[in-house]
Amino acid sequence: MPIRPSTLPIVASLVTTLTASSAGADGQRWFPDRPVAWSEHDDADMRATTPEPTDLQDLDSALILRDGLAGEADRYLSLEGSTSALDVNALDEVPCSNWFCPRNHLHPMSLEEIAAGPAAAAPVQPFTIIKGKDEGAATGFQIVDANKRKFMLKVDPKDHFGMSTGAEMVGYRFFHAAGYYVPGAFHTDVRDEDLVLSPKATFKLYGVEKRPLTWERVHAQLAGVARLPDGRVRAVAVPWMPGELLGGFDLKGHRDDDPNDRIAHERRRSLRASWVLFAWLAVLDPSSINTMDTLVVEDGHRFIRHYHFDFGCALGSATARPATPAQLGEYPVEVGRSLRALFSLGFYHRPFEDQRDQWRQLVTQYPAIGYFPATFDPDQFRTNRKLPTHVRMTDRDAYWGTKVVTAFTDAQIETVMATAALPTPDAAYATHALEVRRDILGRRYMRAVAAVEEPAPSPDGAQVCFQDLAIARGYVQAGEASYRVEVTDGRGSRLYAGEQAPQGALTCVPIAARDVGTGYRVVAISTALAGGVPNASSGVTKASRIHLRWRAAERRFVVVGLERDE
Amino acid sequence: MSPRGLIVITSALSLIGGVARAADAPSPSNGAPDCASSPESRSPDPRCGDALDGRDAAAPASAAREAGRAALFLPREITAGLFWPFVETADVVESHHVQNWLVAWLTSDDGRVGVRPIVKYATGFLPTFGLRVFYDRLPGEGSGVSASFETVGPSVLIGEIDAVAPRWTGLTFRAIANHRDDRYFAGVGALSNVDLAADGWSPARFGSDIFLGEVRWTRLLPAHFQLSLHGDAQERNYWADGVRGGPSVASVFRVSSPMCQATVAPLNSCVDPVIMPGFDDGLRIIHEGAGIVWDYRSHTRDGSGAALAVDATFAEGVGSDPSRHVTFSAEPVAAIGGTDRQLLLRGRAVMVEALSEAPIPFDELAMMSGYNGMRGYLDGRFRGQSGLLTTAEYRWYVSHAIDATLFADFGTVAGRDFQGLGSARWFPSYGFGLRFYGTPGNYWEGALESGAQVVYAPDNGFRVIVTVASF
Repeated sequence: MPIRPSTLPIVASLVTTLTASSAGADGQRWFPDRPVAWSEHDDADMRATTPEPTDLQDLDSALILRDGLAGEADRYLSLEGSTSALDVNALDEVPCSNWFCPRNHLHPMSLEEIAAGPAAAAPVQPFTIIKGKDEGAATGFQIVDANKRKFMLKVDPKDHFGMSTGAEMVGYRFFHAAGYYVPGAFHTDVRDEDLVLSPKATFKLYGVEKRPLTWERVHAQLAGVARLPDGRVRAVAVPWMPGELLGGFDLKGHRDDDPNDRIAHERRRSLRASWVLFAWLAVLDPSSINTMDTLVVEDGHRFIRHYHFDFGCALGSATARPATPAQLGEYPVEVGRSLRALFSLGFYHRPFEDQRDQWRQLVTQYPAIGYFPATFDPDQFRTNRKLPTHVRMTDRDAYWGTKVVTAFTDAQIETVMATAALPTPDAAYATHALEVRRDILGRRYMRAVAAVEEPAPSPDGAQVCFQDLAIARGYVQAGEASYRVEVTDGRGSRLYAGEQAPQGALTCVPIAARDVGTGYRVVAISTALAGGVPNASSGVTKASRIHLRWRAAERRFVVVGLERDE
Repeated sequence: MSPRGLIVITSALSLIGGVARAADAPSPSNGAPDCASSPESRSPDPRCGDALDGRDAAAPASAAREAGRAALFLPREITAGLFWPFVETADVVESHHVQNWLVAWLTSDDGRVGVRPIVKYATGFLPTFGLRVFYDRLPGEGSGVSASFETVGPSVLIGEIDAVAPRWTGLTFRAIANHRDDRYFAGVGALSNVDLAADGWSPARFGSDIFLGEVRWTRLLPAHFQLSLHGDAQERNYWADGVRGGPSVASVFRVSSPMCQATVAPLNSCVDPVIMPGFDDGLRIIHEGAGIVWDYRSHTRDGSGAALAVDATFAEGVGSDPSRHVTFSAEPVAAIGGTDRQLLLRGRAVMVEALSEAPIPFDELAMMSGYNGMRGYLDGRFRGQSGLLTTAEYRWYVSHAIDATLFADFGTVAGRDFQGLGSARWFPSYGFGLRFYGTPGNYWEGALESGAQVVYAPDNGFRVIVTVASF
């Protein structure tokens, strides 16, 4: 039956709809041709909701049992397997949200910006103590400064001048530069006589009973802290987080009273891949106790912002004492290892068991840093909690996290370390250790996945070109790499397969554009590395896949998506 | 213009308008998103139900995975159910700061006066529950006094007062009142259950009231030595009726007299004074002793070293009590440490010498069984004028706060001056334990806090002890 001309628009619409459908016959999920999302829009006004504070910061054993034991058992018995993160856009990046807003790795920060940290005003002395510090291991007080701004003042333990306060300065700056929301930290040295005690100041005895805070107690606490030769106390002032504090956020599930909280926390890459930053900086405690939801009002909108805080247990510090090899190498509860040790009569060996001499050496040589080994095995690194987010981190998530970490240049690292005002040998060692650890993470995770970035069609439209970030950053040598390229039409038909050497950091591969066909291309690129691939005996990385669509109006293929094997 | 032309122009204008609106796509601060605009012209917006990468949801799990999940449904629910009470209990305790409140209610503001709970258990004896009160506001650094009381009812009542003088004095004081009706006696000598049965005996129970006041002086000396002088005064009264946990000693170790037939209620006077000298009259006794300890061990969890403790204690009865004897003891310990492993070898030798014609009271003999000796046997199972014990214990790291142990104890008792030791029966016990440490710093420097052991002795079966060896 001939098609009547009047029906042509209808037919064209149907054809367009069919070709625009996002699922190919081979189960390949197609990316649509639309602008990339760079905002999660999770700041909708929630005036109709009154969020309740959580008590997550009070939970310790409960979360160890829930997440370390019950949660892990459930994860295995539910055959959960590997799951993709959901806060990821079409370019495999994390858009801006109230959890994370990309900074340095997409828009390199100047040395001044990175040293400044989050926007906040520095405290002005004298300080008035208004409350004791009821939570956490660090000695400190809640204060208001001369301009009536509230801060948490934290100090160093005796014999380890700069260890905890320096870690705070460094940790806040790197996390802010990465894109996380942190309150920031200011270095401040305080004389005892510059402290004023509010007559209404209280503290919680044994964590529960309110008592007046007396000078006797303040002096007793300050008697055990590190001081400069002139008697001043080395301190760090952490600005109070803006908004109404709502307690820590859970690392699993949603916040029920937050309509903007649409993605389960364990499916957030920004939380999963924070592990890479924690490993880089050797942060011991990434749990809910060091997170905070705050109810803020901006542009007339009332919504929740999600903060990380307390980096006093970073670098080589465990806040009140140096970190230990076991703290950096084992969870408090590791059933598998414990059972292996039990039934092997102690002959099961953990790597950290050989680090006692190194611990003694580093702690003695660098007391302002603590135990912060430059070389480490990322696969053996542990924090003090098994978190639902971290255990679900895939190689794809880790690659992104490593992209964030390896974006920090040597100059940026040195600049941030300088803000800690540590003794020169300790600062020099910590700077060196951060650079080495950054590169260890780079070699571990950027060699595990094809480091395809910034894909774009070639001017003639016959190829797609991309930057190999692993080569650009020196974690892969161009001479040792070979790309294995496979091009399909999105419906299972292979259009091209071949192998080619990198053309430096920038390489172009064919996309079989001569025949438009389905109007869709999936260019899968994996890298064979002569120097080996971590945890892959085949020597071939996991694949990255560039998705292209035929844009009829422009008569060319355009890049519509980038994804990677998990 | 024809209708078709109008349609085309209208469509084109709509398309242009949609693109323009997309360019002005509302930012978060500008209000609600324009979800009606074309998806192709606006970024994926979760407020419009879009995934951030713009793609449809992933396909559901494969049939094989769904089948696997269905098969594991029950184990999953059971596992969740098993964990649930622990998770919820921990949640309630921590979110309501139960532990903190207990400490706050039971401790003074300065932390120097307070009350703490006590729980003790060992197979074969009644568990005890109690409270310990401490007061550390005495003058002098390191001084303090504490009092504890444990009970499980009228059967067991234990009160204790400890006082520590300022550290520089080296003095400690202790007073104990101990009432139990389940104490253990199985004859004197290396007698197995078969041996006892052959003599018509069996392990039996008796009750005791013990009142003790002790003073001890300790001084650290150079070269890892420690000297201690100690003295105590004790009154002990025993009874044979109303005992718990087995037949009375008056029924088992009874004199042959018409008054003491099996059908008669147990009487103190029916207990054979040859087998259990001092039972009927009790003890009124004073001890004075001196001991030296040489301890050259690294006190890490896997440390190496050696230690030797020797002690001599003289005992003399007071008033009508004729007792007069001296007790010598020696205890060497060798620790061979490895990385997170430790092998301990321990010995203990005890010898009691009578210094008069009076028999050594049964309760003053060397006792080699119990949680600090042959762990497979109850306290008081083996008594003799001399005794020997050897222990091999292997400890290894399981987690930062837990060590596991495997151990074997071999011990026996003998006569005076170890007479008959060569032909005496030795009694082994084998066990497994877990030791729990507090590890505020490095795990290898953790302080032992508690533990539990399961012990098997061929002649006694299994025992559970909620405590661990402290050597």
